[in-house]
Amino acid sequence: MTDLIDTDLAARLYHLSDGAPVPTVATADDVRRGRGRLRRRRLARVGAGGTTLAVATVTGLALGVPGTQQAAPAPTAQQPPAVQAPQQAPRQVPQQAPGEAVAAKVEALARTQGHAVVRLDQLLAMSSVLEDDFGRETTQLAIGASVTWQGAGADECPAGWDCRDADVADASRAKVASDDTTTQVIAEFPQGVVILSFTTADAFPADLAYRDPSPDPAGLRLRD
Amino acid sequence: MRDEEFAVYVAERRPQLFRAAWLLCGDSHQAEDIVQAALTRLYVAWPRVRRADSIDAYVRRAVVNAHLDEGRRPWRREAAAGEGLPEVAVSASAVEEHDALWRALRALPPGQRRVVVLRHWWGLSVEETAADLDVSTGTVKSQTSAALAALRVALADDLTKETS
Repeated sequence: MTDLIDTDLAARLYHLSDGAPVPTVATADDVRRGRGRLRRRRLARVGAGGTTLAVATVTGLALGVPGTQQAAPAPTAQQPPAVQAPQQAPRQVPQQAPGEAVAAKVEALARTQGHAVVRLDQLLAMSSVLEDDFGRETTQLAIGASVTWQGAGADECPAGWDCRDADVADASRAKVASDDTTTQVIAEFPQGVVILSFTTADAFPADLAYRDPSPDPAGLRLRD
Repeated sequence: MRDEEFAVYVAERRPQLFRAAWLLCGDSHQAEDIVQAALTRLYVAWPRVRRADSIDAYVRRAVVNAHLDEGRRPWRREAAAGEGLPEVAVSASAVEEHDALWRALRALPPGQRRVVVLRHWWGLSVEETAADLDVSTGTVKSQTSAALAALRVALADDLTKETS
């Protein structure tokens, strides 16, 4: 018996495990559970660790509103509007159900704007592409828009950037570009091309892979 | 794309993951909970682990961590003696052998059981096991040694009882 332990334990364990009462579980159930957890994480990220997304969205909307330009200076095409880390804007996040509350705030603001470019769920789908790469480390986030895919530079990959295709729900095509500190997602929706930029640096690099060429790059609207 | 790739992987590997979880916890219901938790984590992390080509390693660690999490729950299920023994039809001698090994495995402390499963069922090296469990290689070696010693004693006792 002692020899069996030394020499055959693996074989005996395999033999034992072959008799495990393996249940028949539909793969779709595992996919459904995974989707649910992913959805909860996205909501939590918007509401808590990732308040940057909602805050930036609100900022982006404000930038497009006449009369709010002074409060939020228009960014340059190469340097999209950035917001501070969540801990520097805590009052914008309600204590209870932060994700839903901030989303409602964004939607309410969007309704006052009158017209739409991108939906909140589309922005969330874009941000989810990055959630495994960028989390709480992200210090700044910005949203931009472009009339055309080519105009945003999405057909190219600048030197020093790592570019790849991405899968974003509702987008006809999407790409991700990353360098040492910054990651950008660009997605082409039926309404237009949207760019999300995340960085762990104190400021966005001067030259981003994807750029907003319009004179009013923050003119981004949300709709229901 | 995530759903399709994940579904293919799950269809292929789920039985193996369940067997590992079953050896770790000794209870079929708890093993299913562990596998579900591990696969849910895998789904969320899928793009990253797929790019890193580390799916098997990630899900193996997820199973071990889920087993650790299960052990921390105050209401965790403790398997009664004999519960969850292999259900396949086997010969009488094989049943006795299974039964003895099963009891011996169940008698090990959870930490030693994890080391045994990782090293002798999953075939990991000392270093890989240490990395999965986030412990030192010295700890893995000492737990392996203690586990094998305990298995020897338990199986020898069992053999003695069977022959007396």
